[in-house]
Amino acid sequence: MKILMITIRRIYTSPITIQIGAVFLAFLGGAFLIALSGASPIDAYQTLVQGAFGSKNNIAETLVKTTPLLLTGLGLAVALRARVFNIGAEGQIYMGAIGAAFVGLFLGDIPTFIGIPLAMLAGFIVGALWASIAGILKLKLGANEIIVTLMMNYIAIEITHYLISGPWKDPTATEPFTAEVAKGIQLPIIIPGTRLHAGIIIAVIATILLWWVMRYTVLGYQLVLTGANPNAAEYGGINTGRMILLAMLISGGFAGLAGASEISGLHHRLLEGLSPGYGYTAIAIALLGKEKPLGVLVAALLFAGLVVGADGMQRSTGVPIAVVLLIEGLVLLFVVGSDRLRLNWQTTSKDGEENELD
Amino acid sequence: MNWTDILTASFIIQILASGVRLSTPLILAALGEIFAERSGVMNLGIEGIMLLGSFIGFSVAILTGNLWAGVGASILLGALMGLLFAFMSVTLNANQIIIGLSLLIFCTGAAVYFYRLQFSFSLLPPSIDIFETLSIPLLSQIPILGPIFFDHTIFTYMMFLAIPISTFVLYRTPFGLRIKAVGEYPQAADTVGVNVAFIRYSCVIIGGILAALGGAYFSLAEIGIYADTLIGGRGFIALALVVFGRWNPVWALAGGLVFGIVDALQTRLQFLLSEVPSNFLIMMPYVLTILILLIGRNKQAPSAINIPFIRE
Repeated sequence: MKILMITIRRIYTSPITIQIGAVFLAFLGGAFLIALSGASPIDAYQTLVQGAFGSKNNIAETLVKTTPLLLTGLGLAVALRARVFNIGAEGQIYMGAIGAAFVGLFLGDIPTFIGIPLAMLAGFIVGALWASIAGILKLKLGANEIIVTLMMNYIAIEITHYLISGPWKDPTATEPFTAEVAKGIQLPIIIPGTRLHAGIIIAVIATILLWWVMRYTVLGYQLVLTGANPNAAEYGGINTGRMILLAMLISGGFAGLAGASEISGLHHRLLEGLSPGYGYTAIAIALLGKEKPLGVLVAALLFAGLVVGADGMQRSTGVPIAVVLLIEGLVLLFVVGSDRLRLNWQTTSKDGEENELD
Repeated sequence: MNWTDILTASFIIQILASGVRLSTPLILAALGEIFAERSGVMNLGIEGIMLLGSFIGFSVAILTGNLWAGVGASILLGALMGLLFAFMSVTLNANQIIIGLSLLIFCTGAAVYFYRLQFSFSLLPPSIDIFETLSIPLLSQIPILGPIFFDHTIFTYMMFLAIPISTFVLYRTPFGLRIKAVGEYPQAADTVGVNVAFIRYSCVIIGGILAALGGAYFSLAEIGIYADTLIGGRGFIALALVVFGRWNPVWALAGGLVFGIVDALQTRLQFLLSEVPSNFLIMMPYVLTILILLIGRNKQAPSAINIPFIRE
C-alpha cells in the first residue's frame, strides 16, 4: 500500500506530469478566451484539431510549419542550455534565407546534389555569422546579447526589404520579391499533392544529431556545464567565452538553416514576411521542450499544429487566429510557474533528497 | 541636394522638437525599468506591456469617449502586469529572463487578440482624436527653447516631471535607499529588516505602470490608432537606454533625447534623401541602440540583478 502511494505521488509530482498539467490548464484558459469571442470553445478546439491533423493535406501543412519552428527551436535550445539568450533568431532566419537565395539566384544552373547542400550551408553560415556579431560584442565589450540580437532582427528585416525591392528585385514583377531560385537548390516534395518538402527530413536529422551531441559528446557536456555553473566550468578547464560564442553560432546557424529551407522548400524566392515570427515562437518552443532536442520536437509539432489548426478555426468559427499567440503565452507562464511551484514545494517537503539537481 | 537649404534654423528646431516628442514613451518606459532593475529585477517584457497598454488605453478611450479613462485603464493594466511579473520572479523565484519573454508573448497575444475581438466588424481601422498639444503660456514663447520643450502633449510634461521626482525618490528618500540596498545586497538588506519582496514588488509595479503609460502614449497622443506593430521594438530600446543611462534617470533622459532626435531625423530624411534607400534610414534607430549599448556597457549594473532572493 505504501509503495503504491509513493508511486502515485512520484507520478503526479514528476516534471512531465506537471508540465502536461500546465499545458492543459493553459488550454483551459484558452477555452475561456475563445468563449469571450462568442464561439463555443469545444467547437473551436474541435475544428482546430481537425484543421491541424484531420486530413493528409492538413498533416502535411502542419509538418511544413513544423520544419522552420523545429530547426530554429533546436538551435535556441542549445543556446539556452549554455544560458545564452539569443532573441535574434527571427533576423537570423532572414539572413539564412538571404544566403540560400544568393546561391539560388547567382550561381546559375547547378545540379541538385551540389545545389541543395550548398544552399543549406550558405543559410547556416550566414545565419551563424549574423548571430556571432552579438556573441563577439558580448564577449569583447560586455554588451547585453538580448538587446543586441533583438535590434539585429529589425536590421536583418530591413536588409531583406532593401534587397527584394532594390538590387535583387524580380524585374518582371511589381511586388517586392526576387525571381525564382534555380531548380538545382529546390528541395523535392515528399508527399505528392501537398506542399510538404524534404526540409522536414533535414529537421528530423538535425534533431537526432543535436540530441546525440548534447547527450554523448564532450562538446555537449561543456555547453551544459557552462550554462549550469560557469565558474565550475572555467575551473574545470572549459573556455566559457568560446562556449558562449559557439552557442551563438549554433543557434544562429540553425535559424539560418530554417530560413534556407523555407527558400529552397517552400517559397522558392526571397520575399517579405518570409517568417511570421517563427524566431519568437521558437523561443517558446525551446523553453517548452525543456531545452532538449526531443522535447523541442514535441513542442514544435504542438505549436505548428496550433498555428495551422487556428487557420481552419478562424474560417469555421470566426475566432481570430491571434488566440494562438495568447495560448502560447499562457502555456509558457503556466509551465514556468508550475515548474517553480514544484521545486519550491519539493524543497519544503520532507522528500528533500528527491530534489532535482539539473 | 543642397545642404544649406535644408539645415535652416526652423528645420533644426522642428527636428529637435519632434525628437523630444518621440523620446517621451522611451524615457517613460526606461524610468520604470530603472526602478525595477535597481531593485534587482530585470523586466524584459516591457515591450509587451507597452503594446497591451497602448491597446487598453485605446480601447477604453473609444468605449468611454474619454482619453483620460484610457490613460487610467492603461495605468491599471501596467500595475497588473507588474504584479504578475513580480509574483513569478519574486515569489516563485523563476528565471527573470524567461518570465520576461513569456510575458512579452502573452501581452502581445492579448493585445492582438482582443483588438480583433473588439473591432472585428469595422472595415476601416478605428481611430480617435488624440490629446491636443498644450502650449505652456509664456514658456512656449521663448525663442528656440519654447517650441522644442514647451509645445507638447501632456505625456511629455509628465515625462519631464517624472525625471526630478524619480531622481529624488531614488537618491534622497529612505525608499530609494532601500531599493539600492535590495538591488545590491538583498541578504544584508533583509538582515537589517528591509522587506526585500515588498520593495521588489513595488519597483516592478512602478515599472509596469510607466511602461504601459509609454505604450498608451502611442495610441492616445501620437497616432490615434492601434496597430500590432505600434511599439516596434521600442520597449527593448528602453531597456538599452537603462544600460546607457547607468540606471540613472537623468542620463536615461539624455540618451532618450539623442535617440528621439535620430529617430525624428531619419523620418525626415526619408523624404529629403530619395537617393538613399529608405531601408537604411529605418535601420538607424536600431543601429544606434546597439552603439548606445556599447557606450553604456554593464559598468554599474545592480549586483543582484536577475538573481532571485532566497532567505537562508
